[in-house]
Amino acid sequence: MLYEIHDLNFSYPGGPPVLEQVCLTLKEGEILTVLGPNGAGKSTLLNCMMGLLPTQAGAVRLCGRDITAMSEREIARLAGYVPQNHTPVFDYSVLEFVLMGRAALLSPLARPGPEDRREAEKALEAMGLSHLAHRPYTDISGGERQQATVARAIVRHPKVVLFDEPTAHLDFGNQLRVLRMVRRLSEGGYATVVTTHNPDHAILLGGTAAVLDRQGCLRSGPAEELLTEELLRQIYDTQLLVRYSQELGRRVCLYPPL
Amino acid sequence: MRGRKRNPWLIPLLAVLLPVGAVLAVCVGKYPVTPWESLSVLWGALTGGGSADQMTANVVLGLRVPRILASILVGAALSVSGAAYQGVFQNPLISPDFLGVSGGACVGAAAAILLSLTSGWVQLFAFAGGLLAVGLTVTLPMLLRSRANLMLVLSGIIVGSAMSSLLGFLKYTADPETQLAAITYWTMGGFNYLALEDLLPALPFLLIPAVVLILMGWRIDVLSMGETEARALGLPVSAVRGTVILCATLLTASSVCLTGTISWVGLTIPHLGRMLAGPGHTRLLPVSALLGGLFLLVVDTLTRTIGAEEMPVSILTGLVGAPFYGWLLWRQRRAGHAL
Repeated sequence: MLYEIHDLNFSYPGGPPVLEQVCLTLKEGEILTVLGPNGAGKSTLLNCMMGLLPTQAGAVRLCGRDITAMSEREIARLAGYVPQNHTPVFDYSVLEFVLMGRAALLSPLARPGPEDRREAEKALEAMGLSHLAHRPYTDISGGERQQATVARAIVRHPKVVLFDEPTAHLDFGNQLRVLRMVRRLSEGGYATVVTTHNPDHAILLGGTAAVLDRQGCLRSGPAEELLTEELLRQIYDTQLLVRYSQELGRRVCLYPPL
Repeated sequence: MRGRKRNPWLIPLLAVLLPVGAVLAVCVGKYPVTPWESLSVLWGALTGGGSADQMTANVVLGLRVPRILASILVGAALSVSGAAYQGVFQNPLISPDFLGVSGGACVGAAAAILLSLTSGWVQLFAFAGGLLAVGLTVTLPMLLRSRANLMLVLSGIIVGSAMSSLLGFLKYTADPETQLAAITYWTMGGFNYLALEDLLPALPFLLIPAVVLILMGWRIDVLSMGETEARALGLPVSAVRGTVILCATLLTASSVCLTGTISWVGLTIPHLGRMLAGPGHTRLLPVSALLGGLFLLVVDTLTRTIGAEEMPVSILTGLVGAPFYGWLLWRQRRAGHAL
């Protein structure tokens, strides 16, 4: 088991519970899609899984170890994190940016060496970004920057990659590219956790789906079984429709007429 | 212009320019010395011999060399600490005294002047005042249980303005004939009357933190991605950030205690450094050190050569630095850099 989460509770100081008795497991190579309305705590869950937020009750175990007992380095060696696009301040080259993903593997005062550089070039190649290696990462498109961020996460070969709303801020075509990339990573042996606002993405990715509601409760199961019309209506408080499309060979989640 | 300039000759060029500039600076001034004479005096001082006449030797070794060394060291220290702070706080508009070092140092120095202590004590008080102020700035967010960078910046503003009120109070109680003038001159900053003996005790506080920061350059790159991302990348953020703040503060505090507050250098030079060397701190920090040393050397040499009376150096760094900063911003905008 990569992740074993037992009865995890979390709330921000003075706020209502964001995560309530959350239980979740993740196996090697598994795809997990986390759905939930705005503010339900999807990012909070990812942050707890990266050890970026303290667990208040319950436990998050990463590869069998309690995450609160692990250093940043130890966590980062096992888990790569792809945050939502941030605002870049300094214009590092794409290659320098990806190299930073090696930090967890280097001893405290070491700088990245030729091997790290080779790995960074390989990660860029895997993301199809080799031609941008020497461009400032402030200078490339949002979609490209996200791919560079994925390259930065996989450059240290973690076991799992966590994506915080990877399709937010992307156009329709790029959203599909991101989903394909997640699928490819999973075929390459990485487990992936993806938060998204679009139930269709969970259906497309297959694997396991998890749904967080506003009370902080999490339900999980095979995407195919869990994501019923009834549950999605309840979660999003909207009359949306789930239909099977013969042409696509899959279920789709649709809005009703306005 | 796009793409990265990776001038491999940048550091060697600056490393040659700096000593050449220093020797030239020894030669200019009211008492003219030829480059040959100055080199022979320096050689004599290093080897214990010496053939130049006493007057030349006194001017060179007693007045100009300490001052030139100090201007180079202080320029380098302020620039390295400015670049490191800007990196860690992901804010290119931050100057090295934003955590309240300068304010605290001025209060310390003013207190020592009010107590009629000797110049060595003034230095020590200034140093301690600077460190205390930063200690206060760092403690405030801890009391509020916040680790956000913004909280630290706000706390710096609070401590800074408290220090400036305190300084105003000390000035108000000072004897207007002697002490007030001494406090005012001290806060303006300058390299006059600086002797080699004042410089030596500060040397380890200027060199060691600078070396540590340069060794940590790549970690500063990672930290400049933001605290959360840096942690997710596996960086022990608290340790790295703490070390950088400590080193940068030591650099600023020792500079301020040597020469008073000197504005603009630590804000401007890192920008020039980024333009020439790129944003990676492994290169940016040494390049900033060399550029800053060179810049303050030139400016200080100007203050003692133009005009009949010597001008406080901070006035000239402001006059040169402000338009220079404007030009840099204009260049960066034009080049399409994010700022």
